[in-house]
Amino acid sequence: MSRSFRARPLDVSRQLELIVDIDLLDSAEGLPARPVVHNHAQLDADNEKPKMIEAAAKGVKEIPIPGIVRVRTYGTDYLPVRRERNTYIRPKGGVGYDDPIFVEYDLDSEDEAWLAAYNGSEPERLSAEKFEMMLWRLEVTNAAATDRVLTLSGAAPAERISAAACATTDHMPREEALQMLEETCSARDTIRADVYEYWRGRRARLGRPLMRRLMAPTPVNDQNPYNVFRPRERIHRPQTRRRRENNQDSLEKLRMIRENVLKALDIFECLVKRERKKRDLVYVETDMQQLQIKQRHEARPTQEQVEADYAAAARAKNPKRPIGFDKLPDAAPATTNMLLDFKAKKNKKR
Amino acid sequence: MVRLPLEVSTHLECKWRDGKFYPARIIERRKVDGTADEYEYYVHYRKFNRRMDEWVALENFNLDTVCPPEPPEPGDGGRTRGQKRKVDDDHSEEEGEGHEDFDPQQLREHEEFTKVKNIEKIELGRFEMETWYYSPFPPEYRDCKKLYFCEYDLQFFKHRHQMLRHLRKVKLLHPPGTEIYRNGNISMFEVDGRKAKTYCQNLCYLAKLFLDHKTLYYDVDLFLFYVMCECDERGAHAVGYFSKEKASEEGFNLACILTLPAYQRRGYGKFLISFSYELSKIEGKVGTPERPLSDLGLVSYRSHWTRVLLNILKTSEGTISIKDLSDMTMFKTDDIISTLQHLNMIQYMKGQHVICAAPHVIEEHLRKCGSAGLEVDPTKIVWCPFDARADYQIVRG
Repeated sequence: MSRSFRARPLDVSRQLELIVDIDLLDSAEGLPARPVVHNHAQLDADNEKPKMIEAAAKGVKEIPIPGIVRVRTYGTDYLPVRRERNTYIRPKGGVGYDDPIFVEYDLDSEDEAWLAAYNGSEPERLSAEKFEMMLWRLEVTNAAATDRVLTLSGAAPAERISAAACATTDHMPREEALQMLEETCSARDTIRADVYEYWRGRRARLGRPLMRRLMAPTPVNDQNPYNVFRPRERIHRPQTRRRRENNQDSLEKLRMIRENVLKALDIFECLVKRERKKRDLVYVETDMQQLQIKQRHEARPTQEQVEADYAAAARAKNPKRPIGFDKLPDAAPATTNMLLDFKAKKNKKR
Repeated sequence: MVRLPLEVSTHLECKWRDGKFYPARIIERRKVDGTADEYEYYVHYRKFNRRMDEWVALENFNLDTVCPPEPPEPGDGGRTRGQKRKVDDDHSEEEGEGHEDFDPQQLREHEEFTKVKNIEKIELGRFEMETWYYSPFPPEYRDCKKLYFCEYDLQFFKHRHQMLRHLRKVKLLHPPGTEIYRNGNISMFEVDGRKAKTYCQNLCYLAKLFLDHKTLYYDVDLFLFYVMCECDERGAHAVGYFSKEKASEEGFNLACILTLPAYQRRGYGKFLISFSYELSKIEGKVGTPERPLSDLGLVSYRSHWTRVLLNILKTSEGTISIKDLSDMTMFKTDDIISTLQHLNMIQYMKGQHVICAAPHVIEEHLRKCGSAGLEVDPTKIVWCPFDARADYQIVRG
């Protein structure tokens, strides 16, 4: 906060002087009076550690934080299998990092309990991994089937992500589901059927998908602060500047422009040539007339010299100017301008 | 004689983990599992930020200091004047905790629904951390006290064995985004909220545990997440991040910023702030963090602005304008002015504004800032500004 008694706004584009000597300031309030020299190793050591503590004028304000503990089994839970690449990691174009065989679903406690009961005394009957994969496939196929049906019937995008649409299992018939399971996850018929029934039952009880990704997003008008991640309409500002499109037409247009510009360049070159030739013509005519005049009026003895000069000039490559015209006549004096005169006057009152 | 159980809103002194007693207020209470009438109490320490709020047993209290809440007046549905005043007092005591920018009504509502931490501890990779604030996890996780996060895709689980089973499936050992910076073992990944929605939502759930005023009200599609990782033979481990709107109307170059508690005090927060401005430099646009800033955030930003500006002033001569400083640093002129004023370096000479650039003043302020944290090497950034328009086209079709 500015302690100055004059609250004048600061102009950001104004060049401000950098003052090194604080005695020049109107007031040195709030600034250290004397250079502070630290010969203290302890003080210097203090300053080396990155600080989270701000030593404010009000007093030292320490911001405490809750505790951290190391996980004992980390070294074996996470295995050192990563190999670093020389190049920066980038996703595959279009596909990104989506792995089609990665089983997105994870068994929760209810699933684990059912599985344990189902397996009973035969723990090998159905493995957790296979169960997980089957549930995942059921979820994804069901969502795809629902989406397909709704799109075909012309449903709006909003309807397709509604709670009802996400919750329904009506669009994937039992046969289709079992068929799909047979193709993707090898397991005995009875097991597949049982898993399907379990999944169906669970969906009916929950009234929503098992996988978070497939669940309906919170409706925008839901005010409950405990519900999160509502989809937001991004405000579309139409471009006010004319947009440059990047397609075939504009390429053609640019090609045309290029041709035109090159042709114009040729035309200008011809123009320049023509004007030069005209200028040279004028010079030559001037020379010729001068020569004729001199021949008529000059005395005999100088005749030969004059003729030699002009002959040389005629043979010269680039006649700059006609002979005797190296210096142009003095330019006319600048026109007087009352206003300019007045501005330039020295004894103007300030 | 104090009547038990204690009422919510009671003020009294409570013993903290350092053994000392601090003034506190009871926010909630619940019966202890397996007992008939024993209660535990959720307290807020009045001098500390809400992140220190916790469940404590009755024995932690100094019952001599109990100051019961005023009983509600009959016919007055909610708060009495007395209670309202007390609440305001509490807030005014917590001035400087980062609440000033808030509308008091909104603040009360926010605190009301986030008043009690749900998850108390989490396990993420190498560390188990205590949480700081409430985070709105899906309903089935509401009664959970500890969550286990998979370190790579930030998926969360109620039981450790479930997390481990999931972990065995995971093949992607880094955030699902583009690596835009690599220097030594530190990498930055840019993750698009639209393309990697689940990851970003998980990240938000996780981050909310440590950020008070972050809101998860809207979805992550419109944001980019810049995740900072320490890399080793086990993969890229997220240590912090900042989020940024794809197209910010107010010129914010950063929405939320967090260094996970287990990795604090390594200069990573300062790194993230610097990085956000490096991106602004590449974009050619000035930027500023979204307000309100948390208490830790404000300290870090002040320190960063001070350090960068003073290092420029140290080597400058003659004159300089605020606009010049803005062009060099991509800081907003408002931020520059407020920083310099806070340091009393905007002064007057003969009635005109000047900047005090006395070496001893500069050195003193720089000393107080501490180190520059982990520095960003701009030559190692491989990034081009996000094309929000093209992204919008894809979404709209």
